[in-house]
Amino acid sequence: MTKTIDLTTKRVNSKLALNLVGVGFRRNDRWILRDVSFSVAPGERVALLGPNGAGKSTLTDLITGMIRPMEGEVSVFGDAFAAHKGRIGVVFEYTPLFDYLTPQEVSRYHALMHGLSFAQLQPIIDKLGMEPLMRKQSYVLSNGERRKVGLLLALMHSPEFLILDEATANLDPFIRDQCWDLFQRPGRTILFSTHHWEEAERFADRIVFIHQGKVYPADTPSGFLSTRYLVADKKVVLDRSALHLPAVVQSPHFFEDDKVYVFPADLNAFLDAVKLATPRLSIFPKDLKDVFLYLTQNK
Amino acid sequence: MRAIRVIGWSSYLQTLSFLRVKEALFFSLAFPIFLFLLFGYIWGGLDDLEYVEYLFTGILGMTIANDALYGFGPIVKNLRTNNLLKVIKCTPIPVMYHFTGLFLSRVSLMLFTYVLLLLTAGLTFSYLPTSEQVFLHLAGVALGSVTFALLSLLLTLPGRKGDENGFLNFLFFFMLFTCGAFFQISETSFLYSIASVLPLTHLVAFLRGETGVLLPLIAWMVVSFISFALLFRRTQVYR
Repeated sequence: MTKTIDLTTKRVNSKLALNLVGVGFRRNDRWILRDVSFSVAPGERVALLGPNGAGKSTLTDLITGMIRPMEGEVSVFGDAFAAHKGRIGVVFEYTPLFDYLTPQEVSRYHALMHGLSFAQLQPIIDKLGMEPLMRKQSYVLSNGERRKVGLLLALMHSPEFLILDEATANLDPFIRDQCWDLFQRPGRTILFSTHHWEEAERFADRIVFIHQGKVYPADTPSGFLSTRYLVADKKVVLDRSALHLPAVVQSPHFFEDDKVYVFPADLNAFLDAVKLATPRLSIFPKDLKDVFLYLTQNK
Repeated sequence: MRAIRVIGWSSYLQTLSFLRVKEALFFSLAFPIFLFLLFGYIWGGLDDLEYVEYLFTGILGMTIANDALYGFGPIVKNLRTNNLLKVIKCTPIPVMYHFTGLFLSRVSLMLFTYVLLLLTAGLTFSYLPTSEQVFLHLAGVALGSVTFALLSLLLTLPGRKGDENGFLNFLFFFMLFTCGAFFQISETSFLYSIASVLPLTHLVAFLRGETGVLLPLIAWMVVSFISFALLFRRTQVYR
């Protein structure tokens, strides 16, 4: 049996740092991810943005080859992840460590695997302020400290492609900024999953929304905030009891908890229409979270 | 060259990690010596070197089974359930190097226990095995370690972390008390018929120089390996 290889596609894919085509993964009878397609170009920073349980970590596992997709294809630099391990750094959602070893011992071991000396790690250790914890056994480290060790292990070999699964969760804002100083390097490709809207908006060139195992077409943060998805640039927040009002029903809206978020095309006309029925309302600028919730509730 | 250094470091770190756990240290190093002295003095003594020799090989078999059963499978399962395996898999070094380091670390500890046992036997009962016996013991350490490590991988495959503890304990103590490690079992007893198929019985017999027990040991090794290889990908990891 002969195998036909589409060389054109192969050449195009090899130029991409990451390419996912129709990827699906099922656990028991439930699809965790379905029909996921997106790509990341070299040097691009892409955020996977979605709430907890959206499938972000499963997607990271698929990209890093920890689990195999049941549908579709995943390629990293046009190949399997395993073929390019030395070019890639990965930080997983939880930082597992050997409980009875110190970060110093573990990082020496990882440095050896990457063909580095321990002295070469010193700049990262200094930058992350890790010196005081290098000789502590891992079981006494806090979540934030463990996360720093995870970052050290992922960054030590200056990878050209960084895959970060909630890498800055549990870190204070000051350390988070320092981390991003370390992550960003000219030409480095970064795929990071987060549920922090501000982080995605601030650091991503493009954002991929992920919700209940499905992804929405990627766009730039400003693209999502433009009039393409929601015309209005202001949102009106009302009590949920206002959900039945004709002006609310006729305008783009979504609800969360006990509030309704409305995006009227003509703000003044909308306020006139609802002011008698519901005196309590607030007005805010539209943000990324609004676009995400609007898209996912009105799919 | 880097591969050898990585395996060496892995082995060193696994040993270091092991030595920092006091319970593990007690059961692997102190417990066999304690049992050897206890049973040696109660049923043997200076005038019964035949029993001391019998006990020595029994204790050695117990140590090999204990270290490989508890020191390999549960550790690998722990690596899978707490995601450490993911971190190791993301490095450019094959994950087998890490496991080889773990295995070598366990064998090194067994050899250290063996040396301690030799010293104890020599100092307390003036018993020293012949060079042929030492060779047999070392071969037993290698063979037993591989057999019980593979069995341990297979037995710890299903379920959540820690689920296997009860079954491992039951199996280990059942094998220990029916294999003739400390005292002879009547060959007509019902327990003997069960024990005669279990791997520890064959390992202890091998350490005592009995012939014809190599094949069942190898059979246990091969069956454990094939079963593990077949089930590994199909077994869901519970965290």
